[in-house]
Amino acid sequence: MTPPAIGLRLYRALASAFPYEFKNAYGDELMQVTEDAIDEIWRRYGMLGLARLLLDIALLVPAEYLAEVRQDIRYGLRMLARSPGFTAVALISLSLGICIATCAYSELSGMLRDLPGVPDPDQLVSLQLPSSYPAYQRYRALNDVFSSTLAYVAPVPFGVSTGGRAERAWGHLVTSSYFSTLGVHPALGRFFDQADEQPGRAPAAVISFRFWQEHLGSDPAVVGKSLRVNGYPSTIIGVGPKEFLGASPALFAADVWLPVTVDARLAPELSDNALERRDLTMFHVVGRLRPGMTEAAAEAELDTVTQQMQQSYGEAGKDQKGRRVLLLNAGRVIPLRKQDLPFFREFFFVMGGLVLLIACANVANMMLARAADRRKEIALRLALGAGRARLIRQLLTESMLVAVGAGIPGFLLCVWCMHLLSQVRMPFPIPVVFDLNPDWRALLFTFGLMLVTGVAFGLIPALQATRPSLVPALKEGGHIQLRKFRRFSLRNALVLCQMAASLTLLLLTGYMGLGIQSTLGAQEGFDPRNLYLISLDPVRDGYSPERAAAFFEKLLDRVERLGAVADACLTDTLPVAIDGSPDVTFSDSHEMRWARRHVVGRHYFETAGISVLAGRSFLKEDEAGGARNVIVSQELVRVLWKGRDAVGQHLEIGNDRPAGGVGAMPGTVDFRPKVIGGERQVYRIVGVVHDVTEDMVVNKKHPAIYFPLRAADYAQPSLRGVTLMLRARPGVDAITAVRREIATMDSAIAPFNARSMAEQIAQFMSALQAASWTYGLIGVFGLVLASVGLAGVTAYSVTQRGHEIGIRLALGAQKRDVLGLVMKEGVVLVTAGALIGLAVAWAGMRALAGMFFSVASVQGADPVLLAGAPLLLASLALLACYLPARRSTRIDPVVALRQE
Amino acid sequence: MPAHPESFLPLKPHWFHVLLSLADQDQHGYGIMQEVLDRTGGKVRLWPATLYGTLKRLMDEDLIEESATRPAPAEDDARRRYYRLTRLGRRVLAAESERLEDLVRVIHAKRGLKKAEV
Repeated sequence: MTPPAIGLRLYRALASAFPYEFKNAYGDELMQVTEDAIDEIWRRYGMLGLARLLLDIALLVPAEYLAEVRQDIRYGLRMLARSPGFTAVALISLSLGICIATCAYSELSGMLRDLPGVPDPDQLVSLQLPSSYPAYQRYRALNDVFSSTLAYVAPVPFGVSTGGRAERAWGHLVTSSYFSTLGVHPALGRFFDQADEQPGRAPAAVISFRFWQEHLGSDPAVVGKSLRVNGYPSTIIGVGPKEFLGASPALFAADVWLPVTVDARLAPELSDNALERRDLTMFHVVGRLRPGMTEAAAEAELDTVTQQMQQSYGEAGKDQKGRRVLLLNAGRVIPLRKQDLPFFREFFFVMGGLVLLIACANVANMMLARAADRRKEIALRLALGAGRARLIRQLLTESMLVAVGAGIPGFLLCVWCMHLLSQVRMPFPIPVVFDLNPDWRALLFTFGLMLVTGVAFGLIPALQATRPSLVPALKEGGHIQLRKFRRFSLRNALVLCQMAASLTLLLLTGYMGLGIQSTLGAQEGFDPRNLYLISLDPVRDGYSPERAAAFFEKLLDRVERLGAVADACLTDTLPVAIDGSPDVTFSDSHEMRWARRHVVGRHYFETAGISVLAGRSFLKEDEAGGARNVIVSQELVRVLWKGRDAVGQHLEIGNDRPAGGVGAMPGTVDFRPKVIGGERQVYRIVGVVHDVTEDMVVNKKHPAIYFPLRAADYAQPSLRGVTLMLRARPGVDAITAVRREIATMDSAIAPFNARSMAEQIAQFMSALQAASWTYGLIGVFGLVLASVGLAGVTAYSVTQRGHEIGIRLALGAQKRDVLGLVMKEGVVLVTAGALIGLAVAWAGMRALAGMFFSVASVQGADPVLLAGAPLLLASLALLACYLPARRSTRIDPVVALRQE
Repeated sequence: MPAHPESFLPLKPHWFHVLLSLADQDQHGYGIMQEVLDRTGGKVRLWPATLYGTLKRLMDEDLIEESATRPAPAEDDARRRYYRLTRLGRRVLAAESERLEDLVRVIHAKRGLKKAEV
């Protein structure tokens, strides 16, 4: 074979790869010209000429395909612009669908995100419950399990002064192995080493990149400078890497790290020999598994060690059955058990997928309706010799255009939603931050969604529209073959399902949303008007506990004398707040019960407006060390003594719940020694006060026990500090007056979290508010989708039956009759869908009622919702049905008949 | 709406060569290729695929069309299609030629200027 012959053969193969249309029009000629020219080219240019010839065609083939795509896009855009109604509705419903799916994905990926900057995060495991330091030392010794381990106390508030300004920052008290176990490297300076753990050394501190930027002006010479922490100087030895906020950035984001060995004056958490106590289980333990070590094997080994410890030290739980140690995956921003992961993934996948599926089905339905309109155009193109594949590609291009057009606003909408959601401040005493902002992965996900949805809602209509049954389509002037009215077509079934699903969605979301709304503002039993809160933590500002006690005494005295203040008190707990493992137990004659634990100062009840029903409120004598006086709520008296006079009675109170509060809300685990190490003690009741309802949702009343706030509590108050609660005189800015008062007493004291009770309640309820808004949004989304779907089907049916309608009109039918005829189908669908939806929603509500709220059973029967939602849906649906149906009345019988 | 000739300017070199070959007579593909080759003294070769890609574009843009008149049966090869300029194609060719002429005039004027300076 000569080189030209081989070249020609290759050329032919390449030429056969041209798009159909090009091949059809120019393929033969191209081959002929090449055959004519190839010998001359070979003679003149040799091998190089043959190569040039082949390169020429190899470049043109993809160029031709691109040109075709460009043409398709141009044509598609023109077609979409020609039916703006369809385009707008398709864009809206699809972008909402893509937005919700991307939101679900971002939320998931935000929660399952790996710790930033940490290598091999899968190797990191943490104990589900915090341990004591001696226990950690035992775990640390398991060298065959862990390649390294760390322990930290979190969350720890610090009063940090930078440039004379004191601020409250959050941090961790860490072992020197903390950073090396995580595997992160400092942006500046160094991290802790063994030497920093030696007692007596000047305390060293590591700060976060964020803190360095925001509070220290990104000072490049910051290493070696002094930082006052809790009023004592420490030396900054390093700055953490960018975006690194510690081992648990979502729940306990850290800006300051100190070694666990620092003086207890710097960190009151470490007072009372915290590192030697076995009962002080406040250390989060994280380990990096040795390569090849499985989580199950590690868990078993840790379990054995824990059991040994419990037996040798006679600790509580030594007779406990089953596993004592549960390992979590610590390499993610939220520690999760491995077996919980699939649940999370599937939940979000199903939720996002379903919404998207509904949206796609919807647009597909409209596409079908539209394809019927375009039947003639397509038949004509088929008849003129366009390939079916080519036409399908053209139609798919159109649906891809819609998908891409919807994907971009959908993603932007998602960015906005997630930004809002990330702003929702959780009602926890510590800053719980979820970074849910969509990242490039979410963008990639959206892009994938666009491709999938474009094909999903475009393919079936495209296949149907290009079915090669040309003759009837051409003959009937654009309307497809007149069939007998199918009462139960696939499309009708789709709409029926959609109606039912939308109503279910609307009812359930309305039920959840309204249920939440109706339970809001249920904080009763105290008077939130003109009530203000401001928190202080003098120990973090460098005070000794004694000095702090004297300060508070004086402050209260001076504040009470302010003209702006009607009443004031100090308190540890608040009427409306998620509290740190707040429950105490008390025993009935035979039953163990629990009560909410409050620690409040003198005048608390008077200031908060809680009425004292019997006995008295706290006096100074109750705060003495040996005094064992408590005040109880009405509900407790009702439970224990059936409402008889309880003043003077005795009550045995303890804390028998597992230390650390399993499953508590983030930041609410109160690991202060006095909270955990409570032995059962007998208290005397000195007063009975009115019940305070303070739950997020309406709930049955809880018994409550009030303990007096003692001077000792100032040494280590709860995470929200000691709160000064004020009842201001109406119309007076009490907060400013009090701030000024504090500043004149000592400018080193940094008050924080100043807010009104109304703000406190709003923040407390914000998560639920956000939830109820989300439900509302999803409900509206379902409503819009259902209406759009119905409108699409009605429009389709009008197009399909145009001929029949024309005959009817010609035979003397009135426009009203025709309208009724077309609407009948819609009405039947709406009614049937509504009935099914009602039934499903009813079942769903009953299921939800069992799961969530006790109030739900009341709400479920809410006539407004039960009658209102179907009515709303039905009227919208009928409108959606009427608008396209109106078109039927505009059919000109003459035109319709002439098409015969 | 017929396109304005100016909207095609400046013309791509391939397009210009093809239009130019069709200016005085109708041609088939191979003929165009040869004509361009001869006219440019072998400097410009329209390779077959490029040629037919260009012909397709010119057809799409309505600058050329298939010619119905064919040469005498003795010379005619039935497999070949002949192309000719449309009115629009002719006007586009004229506009491009004018543009190039203007360009050449400018170049000459500049040269004259330079010579005067020297």
